[in-house]
Amino acid sequence: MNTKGIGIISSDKTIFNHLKRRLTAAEFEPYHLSTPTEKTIFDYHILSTPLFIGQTYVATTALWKKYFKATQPTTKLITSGFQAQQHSNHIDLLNWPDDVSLFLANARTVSEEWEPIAEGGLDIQRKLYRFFEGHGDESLTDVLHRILMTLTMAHDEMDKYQVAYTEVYEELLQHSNIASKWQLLLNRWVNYLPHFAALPFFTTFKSIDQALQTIAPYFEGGCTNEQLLRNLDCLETLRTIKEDLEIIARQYVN
Amino acid sequence: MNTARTMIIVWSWKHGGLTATHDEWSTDSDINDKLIRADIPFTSTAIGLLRQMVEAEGLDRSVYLFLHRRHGYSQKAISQILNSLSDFQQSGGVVRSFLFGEGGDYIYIANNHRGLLGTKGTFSAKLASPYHEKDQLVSAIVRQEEKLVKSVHFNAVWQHYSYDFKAKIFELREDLFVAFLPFLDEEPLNSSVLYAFLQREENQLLFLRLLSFIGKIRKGTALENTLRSFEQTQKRSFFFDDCQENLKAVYGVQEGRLYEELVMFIKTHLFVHDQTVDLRQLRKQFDVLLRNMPELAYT
Repeated sequence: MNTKGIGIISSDKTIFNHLKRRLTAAEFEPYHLSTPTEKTIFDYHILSTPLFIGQTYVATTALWKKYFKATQPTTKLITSGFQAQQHSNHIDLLNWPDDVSLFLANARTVSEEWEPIAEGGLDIQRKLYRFFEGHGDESLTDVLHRILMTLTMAHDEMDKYQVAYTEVYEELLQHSNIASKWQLLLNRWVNYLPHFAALPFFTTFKSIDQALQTIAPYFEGGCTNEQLLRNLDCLETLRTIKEDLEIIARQYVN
Repeated sequence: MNTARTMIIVWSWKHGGLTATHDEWSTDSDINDKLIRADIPFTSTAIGLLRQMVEAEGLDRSVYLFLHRRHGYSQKAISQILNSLSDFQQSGGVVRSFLFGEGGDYIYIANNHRGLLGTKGTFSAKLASPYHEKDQLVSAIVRQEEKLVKSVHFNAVWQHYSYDFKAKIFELREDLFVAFLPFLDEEPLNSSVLYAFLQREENQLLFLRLLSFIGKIRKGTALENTLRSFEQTQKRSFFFDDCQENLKAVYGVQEGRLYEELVMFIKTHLFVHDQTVDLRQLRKQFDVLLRNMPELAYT
């Protein structure tokens, strides 16, 4: 455990520099954590809030608290911003604590029960919930499941029952409008992705984004090309995406 | 807020085939939503025409009136239209009015793939995508012949503009305090120092937003053009020219007054020579205004 080190999560250089100056003056060693955070162990993490992500101010404290509770349960997560609120785990940047060492010592760990201050930005927890919920205009998992189910059936037809791809295409893929479902999936993905930067699980989201780009040519071609379906390994890629998303949902949504 | 919703969008629809002054579209959802396309340049008769269109929607619908700046609409036009609807609003009618055009407005598909306005008076536009080699055609229409737009586009635009005023004020507050952070070590702060800081090239956007907030950007000026080009490149809305009139008309007299008090504070503390600036007081005034706007800043 690094007793004087402090991890700082901030989307803004000015805020980081300010925190660094103030904390260094109090003999701490602040480190900027590029997000998602490295596996560095600190007694304290300061989260600038709300974070400016994807052209929007986003309230992320509750998610980061869950992340640290799972990975570093004894660390103390302290928010800092311009909210005029007194809280054991919040530093008002316009009213810097007289004794910041004492303030940090008195802050509560992520494993203790406390509610973050009202940050004022987009509630990313709600956004994440809508992303994962089974139905609704914004659910990504819903449309992903539908595409996955159709492609699984298509592979079963071809591999188990030796049905020709042209027939599978005409009777199943075209009929179920899979190309337009793919477009819907992409539209929803593009809508969400920028909001999830600077969150603990963003590395996974970046990998998923890369995977979607890799298999896109099959869908872009209207799903008519069997070779693309097989060579790009579309079904397995979508299954992996589903599994990755389920891991995130288990940790952060429920 | 009423659940039935109407958008009246004044835009260059004639380029896209509108032959009358206006027509009506529905959405593919169960909700009783309506989109009215109108192509009405701002003239003395436009105010009466738009008033009639809003009032025709009745008291049980919420109406969002979108006005294209290039059709001649401005802060003054919004003020006149909302004033003409004051009886309607006092009877319980709900109407908000937004200026858009030439910038980074959310209503355009080019800025937001769930937008409504495409190119040349249509509901569709081509967009580049990292997932496709070719540009993708994004359309907000379900079926042209049935005059049916996609509810997901209608909902996204409606939702965004429901929070737009508060989000813009909130973002200005945040960005202003972040910018002033380096000066906290030098308290008490001096207005001349902060003003000089705001005028630096790297702070130009923040300075222009602040000028727009206090009503100091006039139509047709270089300042307006510069802020507009920031909107275009950043695909965000920075102008406050539709904000103050709506605050008075939609939220109420008190909210309009709080806005004016904040504007006055900025004018008399930041935009004057050699004054002491109390950032905590500035924050307090921002916060009182934001607290009096009951919705969230984002959803």
